[in-house]
Amino acid sequence: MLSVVIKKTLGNFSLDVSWSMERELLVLFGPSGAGKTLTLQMLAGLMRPDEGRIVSGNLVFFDRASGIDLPPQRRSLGYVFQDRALFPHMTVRQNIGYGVRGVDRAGRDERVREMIGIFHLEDLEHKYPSQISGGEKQRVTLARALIGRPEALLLDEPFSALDNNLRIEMRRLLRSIRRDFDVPIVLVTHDLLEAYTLADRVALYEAGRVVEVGTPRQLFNPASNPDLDFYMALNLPFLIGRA
Amino acid sequence: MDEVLFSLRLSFQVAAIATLMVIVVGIAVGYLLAVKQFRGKDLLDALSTLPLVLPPTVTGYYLIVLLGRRGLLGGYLYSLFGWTIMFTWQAAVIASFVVALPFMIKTTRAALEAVDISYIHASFTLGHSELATALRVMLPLARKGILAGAILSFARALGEFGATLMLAGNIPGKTNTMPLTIYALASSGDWHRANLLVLFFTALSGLFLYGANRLSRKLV
Repeated sequence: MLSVVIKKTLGNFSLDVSWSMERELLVLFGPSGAGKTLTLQMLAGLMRPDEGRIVSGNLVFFDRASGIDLPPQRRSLGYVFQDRALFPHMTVRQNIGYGVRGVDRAGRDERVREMIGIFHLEDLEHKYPSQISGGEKQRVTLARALIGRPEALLLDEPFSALDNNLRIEMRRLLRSIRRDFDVPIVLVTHDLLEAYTLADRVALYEAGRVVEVGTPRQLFNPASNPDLDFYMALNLPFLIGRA
Repeated sequence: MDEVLFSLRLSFQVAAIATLMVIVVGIAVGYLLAVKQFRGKDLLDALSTLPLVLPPTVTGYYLIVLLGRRGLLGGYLYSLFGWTIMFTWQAAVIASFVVALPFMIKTTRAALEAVDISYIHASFTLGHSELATALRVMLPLARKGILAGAILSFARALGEFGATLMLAGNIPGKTNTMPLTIYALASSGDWHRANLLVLFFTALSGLFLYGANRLSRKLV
């Protein structure tokens, strides 16, 4: 479905990762600065890897060997940024509509209306991003990313700016997105609970490498992975409570 | 009084047309300098700043070399059409355009560079080309700086003297903009009229800037 093999050196940081995924939710998990966001940027075509190959379905995004490097516009990925990046000069409606291309006006309006319904944004249509809450912004960003029917959804710490209650709501939303849109999702996070509760599989990042890939249960088992003891000690009571 | 009104109207006409040209060229060059990497970028940057540093008479001199009847471009035009821009009001527009352009380029470039890269990336990943992103995301987000640049350029164009004198001359009823008329009056000792015009011109320019600033606050 989606396979990524990339190498990139930036200053004295070097990224050297490879993973692949099916129609599932893959969490890229690890501490800040481990290269998770960098991976997403190269996947989306916003930064060029030094070496490697990125393939989505039967479309080659990047292949160093044959010199292929599709621009971000042609990769058809929904990218939700860490800092959200809703256009401040457009209303909620215009922001969502900006994600549709190659459709006539009536078709676009119809799809925008559909997304507004799915994400419960009816009362916010004509508001500007500065006039709505953090959770609402995140719903708009997801609607904008999904309206173009992307091949995959890339989420870069999408909930890190939200408070706990909203995060729980957002996780619920993310599950319903998976159900409704049937789209593979790559989720970057350094929140263990998020990784544990949402992931089908987790790729564990550390200092520019993927040290392990597996289901949350395999990975977050202290016996098999002493590296994670620290996280577990902090979060275990909480995890048990929720699971 | 008629001559005064003529010069006043001419001044604003010249400044307005020059500013329109400045806006188009300034945004294009400002965008290139802010976004693109290309050979000769530093050269373009320096060249576009030069009129800011040079005395306007020197800028005017270069314009004569370029556009004069025997100039590099002007000579060609003259031999082709028998027409020269020298000593016409259009020459005053060119002079104002060249001296005001750096203000527009500088402010536009700074405003475009200040647009957060994530907005641009978001637009790209949503499938929009560089041009669409420039028009629908970058320029609207930079509109404050662009508007400020346009106002500054207009102010500079309105007060233009040196390059205009070199290129358009001071021909009564033809190319005598306000600054030139005031200079002529003062140098011929007609202080009474000069006083009047100076006050009038100052008040009008002040009023324009005040109005433009208020309008731009309302718009952005």
